Amino acid sequence: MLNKISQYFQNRFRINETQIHELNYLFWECTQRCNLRCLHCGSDCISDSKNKDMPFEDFLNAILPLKDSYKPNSITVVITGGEPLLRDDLPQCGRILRENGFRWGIVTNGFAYNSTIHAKLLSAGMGAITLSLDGFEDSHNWLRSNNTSFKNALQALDLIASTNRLFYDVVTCVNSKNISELPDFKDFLISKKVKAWRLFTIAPIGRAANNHDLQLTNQQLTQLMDFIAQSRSDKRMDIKFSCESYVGKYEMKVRDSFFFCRAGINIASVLIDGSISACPNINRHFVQGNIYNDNFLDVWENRFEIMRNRNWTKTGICLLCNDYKNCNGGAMHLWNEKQDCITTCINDKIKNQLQATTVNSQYDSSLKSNAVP
Amino acid sequence: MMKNLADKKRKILRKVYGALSLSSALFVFQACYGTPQDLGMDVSIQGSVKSKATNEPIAGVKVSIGNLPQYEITDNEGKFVIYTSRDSIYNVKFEDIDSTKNGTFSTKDTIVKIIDDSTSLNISLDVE
Repeated sequence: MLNKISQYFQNRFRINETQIHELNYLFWECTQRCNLRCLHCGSDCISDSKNKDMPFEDFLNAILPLKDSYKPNSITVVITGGEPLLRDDLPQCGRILRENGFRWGIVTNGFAYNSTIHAKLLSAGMGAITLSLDGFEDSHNWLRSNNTSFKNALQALDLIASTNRLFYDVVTCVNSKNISELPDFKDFLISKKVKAWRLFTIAPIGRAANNHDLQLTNQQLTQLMDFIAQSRSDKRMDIKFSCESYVGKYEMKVRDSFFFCRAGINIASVLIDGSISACPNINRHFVQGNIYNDNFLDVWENRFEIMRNRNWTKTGICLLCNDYKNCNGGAMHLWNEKQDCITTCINDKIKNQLQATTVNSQYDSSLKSNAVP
Repeated sequence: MMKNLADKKRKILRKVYGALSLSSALFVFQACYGTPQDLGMDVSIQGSVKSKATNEPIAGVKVSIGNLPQYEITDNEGKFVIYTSRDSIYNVKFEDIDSTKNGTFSTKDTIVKIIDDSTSLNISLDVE
């Protein structure tokens, strides 16, 4: 009952936030170059992208007008890629962002992260970082398609976890290969003094769209939810499921807050070609403008209707779903240009698994009661 | 005018709905594929370095804090900005590390107390 009341006010909160649509979180896809070729990459990045790195001045000039409407220190610029560490001017970009009042952080695979770049980024005012670590050595190296990626990421982890001033977390893409090692991996991260661990599933987009080995079965998905829910009582590390999907009965058990996809509501991005969108992994069909043709602030204030009014998502499997009012069509990155059905629904998978478990246990009970002594 | 009133009302409602939803993380969120938000755990120390003898700016001076590995080098105007952990007292060190390129100066250590998010220093170095 209490959960239903909380969910009701969460839904009111979401509607209210949508009306305010205050920009707090801005991705900059500064490069599409990458030093790894991960099996699950949502951006499908390659070592030598056809898109050149965006000149920092272009990005800066696009976002400076934000200072007229926002306190820049209320906006975190999240520099992503590709792999942002491949840009030699990364510390300089960050420094100029700070000089203009913006706060900033990076999302990295950790492969090129060492003590020199760590010191440079901190000196330039980096305040947040997310590091990918996808299980123990074999699992991580398999997903990252590189035999030394785990070793390098671990070096990055030691540097990051020893820096108290950083807001950081470790993210793990859970798949059928690493799910069984999660309990041991949790202990490993705690031994490394990691403060925050976020777990994802792998969305069937980008390079992962055609790799079914990366997807969890329904049973594994509920196993993951149960693992996170139970692990959250361990206060040595903040453990949570990413805000990638509504998770039905696991809402508030696997995260601190209810599901709320803020793409286009509080989150925007400037992509490698100047496109203005929300999260970089959202289908490029939903691009709202381009910094080379449009005023970024104007686009933020006056477009993004497709993300602020999601009634159009009540289609496909969402059409008759009882949870739609809480889920609101799920995460934007799970919709493609056809806009006819969400590509995957974690809540649906969880419900199917729970139903299957119930049927199986009823069947077992009936076998026992009918058994001849 | 009406828009401002509507905005104010929505910002009040934000707090009300946020509290009633009993959710602790509504105001500090994280994009599903992004970093945590940077809520500002660091402070900046900025300033300029000049020659005590000529009052001219000195480029190429290494500015470091305590035993931390991070450092900054002064630019052609002798200016620097370095971000560091929030603390109450800092030992800031200025070292001439480029040999005779921009002159030769003595190393200087300075104790700095910081109260705000940013502190400015004007440093003069003795000629060696």
